[in-house]
Amino acid sequence: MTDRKVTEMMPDAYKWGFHDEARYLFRTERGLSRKVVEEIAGIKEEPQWMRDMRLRALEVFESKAMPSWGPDLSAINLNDMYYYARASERPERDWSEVPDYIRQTFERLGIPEAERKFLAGVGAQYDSETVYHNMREELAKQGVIFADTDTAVREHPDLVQRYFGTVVPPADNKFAALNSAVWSGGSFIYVPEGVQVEIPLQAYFRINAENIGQFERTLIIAEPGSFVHYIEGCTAPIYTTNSLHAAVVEVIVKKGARVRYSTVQNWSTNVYNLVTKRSVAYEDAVVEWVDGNLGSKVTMKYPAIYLMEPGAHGEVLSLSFAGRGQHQDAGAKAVHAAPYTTSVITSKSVSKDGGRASYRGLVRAYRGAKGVRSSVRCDALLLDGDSRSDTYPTMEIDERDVTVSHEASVSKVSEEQLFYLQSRGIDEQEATKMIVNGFVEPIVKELPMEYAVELNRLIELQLEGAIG
Amino acid sequence: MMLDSVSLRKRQAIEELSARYDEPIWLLQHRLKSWRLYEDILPPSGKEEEWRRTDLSALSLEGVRLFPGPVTHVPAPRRNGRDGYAGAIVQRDGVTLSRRLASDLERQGIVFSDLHSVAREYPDLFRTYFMTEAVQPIAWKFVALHAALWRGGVFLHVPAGAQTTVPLHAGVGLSRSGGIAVFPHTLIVAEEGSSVTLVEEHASPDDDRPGLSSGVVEILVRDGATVRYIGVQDWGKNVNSFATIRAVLGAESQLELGLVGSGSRVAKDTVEAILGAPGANAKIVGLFLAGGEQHMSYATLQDHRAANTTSDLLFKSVLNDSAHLVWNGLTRIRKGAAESDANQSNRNLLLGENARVAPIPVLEIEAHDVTRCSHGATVSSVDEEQVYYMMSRGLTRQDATQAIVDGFLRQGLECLTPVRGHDGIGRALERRLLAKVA
Amino acid sequence: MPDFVRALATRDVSPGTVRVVEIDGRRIAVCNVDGEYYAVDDVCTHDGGPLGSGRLCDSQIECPRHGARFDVHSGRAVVLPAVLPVRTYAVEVAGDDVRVSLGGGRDV
Repeated sequence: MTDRKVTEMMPDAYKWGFHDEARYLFRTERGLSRKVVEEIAGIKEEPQWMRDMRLRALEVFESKAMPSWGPDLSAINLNDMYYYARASERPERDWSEVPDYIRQTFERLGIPEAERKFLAGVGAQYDSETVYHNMREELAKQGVIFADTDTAVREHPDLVQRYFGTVVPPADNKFAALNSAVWSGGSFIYVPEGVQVEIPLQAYFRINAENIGQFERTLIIAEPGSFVHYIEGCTAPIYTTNSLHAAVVEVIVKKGARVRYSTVQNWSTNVYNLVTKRSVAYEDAVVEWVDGNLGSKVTMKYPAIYLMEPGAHGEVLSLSFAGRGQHQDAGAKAVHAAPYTTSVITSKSVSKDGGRASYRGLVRAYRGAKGVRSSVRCDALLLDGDSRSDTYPTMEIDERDVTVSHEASVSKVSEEQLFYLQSRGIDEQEATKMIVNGFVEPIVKELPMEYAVELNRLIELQLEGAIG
Repeated sequence: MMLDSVSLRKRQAIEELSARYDEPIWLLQHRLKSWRLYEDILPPSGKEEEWRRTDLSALSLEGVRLFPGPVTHVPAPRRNGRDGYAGAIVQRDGVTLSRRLASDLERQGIVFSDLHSVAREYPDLFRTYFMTEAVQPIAWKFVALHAALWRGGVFLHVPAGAQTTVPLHAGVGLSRSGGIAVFPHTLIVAEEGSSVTLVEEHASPDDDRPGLSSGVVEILVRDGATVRYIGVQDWGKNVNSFATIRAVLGAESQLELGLVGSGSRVAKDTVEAILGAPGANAKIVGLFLAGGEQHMSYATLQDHRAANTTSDLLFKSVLNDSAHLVWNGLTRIRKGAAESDANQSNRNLLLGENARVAPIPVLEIEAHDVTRCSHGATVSSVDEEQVYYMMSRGLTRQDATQAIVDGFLRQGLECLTPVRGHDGIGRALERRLLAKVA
Repeated sequence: MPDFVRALATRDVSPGTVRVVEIDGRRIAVCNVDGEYYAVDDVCTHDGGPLGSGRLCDSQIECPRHGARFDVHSGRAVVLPAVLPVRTYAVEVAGDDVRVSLGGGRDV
């Protein structure tokens, strides 16, 4: 139970509020323009097709309006940001080669020596560029490609070109267009047919200098019968002006393959976290999104699964904490484009100190998608009178032979439960924590415990009383 | 306000309409002002969440005559209203054909009449309540139109303390539905501690030409009062029907709202229950049966503004052929509405191969001290196992499907029984509804 | 025997472009892929809006609103968020005319 006192993870005060002096070898001029985009493509020595796509995406970005729904994004000043910065010359291959001040950052984040051995491969992103990258030999032998996306564009151009932008095209939404224009870093994973990747693949990245946005682009391709579990997590220091994180994740899961994508997001509470995450699942494929949203000022993220062929199955487990000044607008989308496909969406949220947690979801069944089964369950807990919870589910069912259900509830901590625990000598605060723990446990237990660094550090800080 | 800006022809037409009913000048002015509002208010663009899935051509007034022609022949009523009711009004084409009210209800001071009569005989009552509180002309474009051109109407006013046990009935019909517009208006005011039940049916024959209905139902339930309203919509198959139903509840008051939607080509309704005082309770039951190419769209609101309020919405639909139903349901629990209890349940049965449904239940919760706030929506077709089971017992597939649909609807139909033991919305109607989804 | 109807002149749609015409009340997007002509419904199956103001990328027509793409040969949706194929029509070139067949009858 002590490992899982997730209530203690409430980011009441973000104690990792440090950042190194910005030391950059290069960064583009402030703001976004054709020149900036061309510079990015040039620095990365990208092929023409990628450069063209970036420029086209910039046009789309400029032509699209900000979303008219969802959280308030008016404080984002898109002109006042640096869209690309580079901290060192080339991707590194092991710790000893990583520049000192970068290693210091990791030391201060407290990655224990022992943990490092368990990591399968780490692509650490420092301000838009990968500086550290290491691949275990087993992966390479199996034919698994795990690289930062920039490297993948250079070393596996055909593979990247075949899939890049096919799941989330630049025009999909304004922030996908932005990402498509200025993306940098992110992970590229390719798993060959039949290969099961036993150890979860992970990555770190963080925002550093003021007003630098993070625009990583992740692309995962799982060939038939393969399996991989990818874990994404991040941390960022406090800034006085707003930071923007607009990532795009595309996951392609072919026949009989399975991909699990776990995220624990704990951005500092000035970050706007606007992410488009989408997967396509083919025949008998399985996609699982495990999505934990703890930090950020605003998060807009709706992991989606497009079930394209019979037998495909999609699952989303979404957990959100909304504390003071936070708005977590999270959810899931399941689009059933083929018969005999199934989806299960589970969302749990906790709001306290005036935080706002919203579930926003879509279940769509196209005509012809016979035998579809989908169930959505959203539960929200309000811890006090200032907090807020909303549910915005949409169902669009164009096929009669389906079984679709959606249930949601919003409640406060049960007085009966509190009374019971208090009558056993447990004080109210402790009792509340236990109850909240029980509430979130079904999702927390799905987060991999091997992914220890972020969670363990956060929990330690809580237990030390360093937060609050 | 520039009355001159209302085009002369329209003004004259409205004046004629007003004169026909011998209306006082203030009522004519209300109509003219509303017409001006109608011209000023922009129509929906289609981008609004509640209009996105509806074909906006339903708003077209082409081929629809807004102003009634001269009344030539008023057919005699076949019967003096429905049996088993303590009062009944029968209207056709905006003309009241018959009206009756049990003497004991009259003695209690209950007013149950058409709006024209009330405007003449009880002007104070009329001016106090008509489109002042529950629904105002500015609600949206077609409500402003309604406020300018309404005819007939049903007014039910129950004085404080007056309790009724037997329901009242209103039948509003059209002799034909093609090419004309109708604006039914129902206004129910239940003063403190009173109770009343009204069953209202809207019907018209099928016609190849388009028709329009923009109706309004205003319900004011004062402290401690109870109102049960059952509205049955069965307009002809080419009528585009828009209804705005809004109830305002006082402290410790009770509302039971039953809606049956069966007719029209496009039926777009707004149904709102405002629980603005402590202890208010609203129960909303809707049964919708659509077939052919019908499109039904319901936007509902359960608005909890005060503590200890409860609401419960149950919408059930059966969709055949290529019918399409949209439900935008919002439950809002505002800060301060402590210990509120709200629920939405939506069950959709898809029968037709091309039937489609879009349930969109939304919760916006700002008060943390909620007793319960939940919702559930399901979509399915007939359970094949159940069908095979029944067929193995000798029923045809058709009969088996019918039985399942019947069972599905029964729970909803039971909720629509206005008073225990009383014939619900009429067995004939029930049969008609079930035949429709066969 | 399919009914071919004149849609437009070959010079009206140059290589790499799309032109929308109306035939029998239906909006059809005629595409020129390197001199070969193709015709699809002017409807994006993702949101029901028109495709025609989008662009042609090789043999894929792209919807301007969300970037979905359809292969003009088969009508298949090749880029999300579209998943359902768009309907295609047979095309023939007769002299300076591009002719489209709406199919074997009205009910297709």
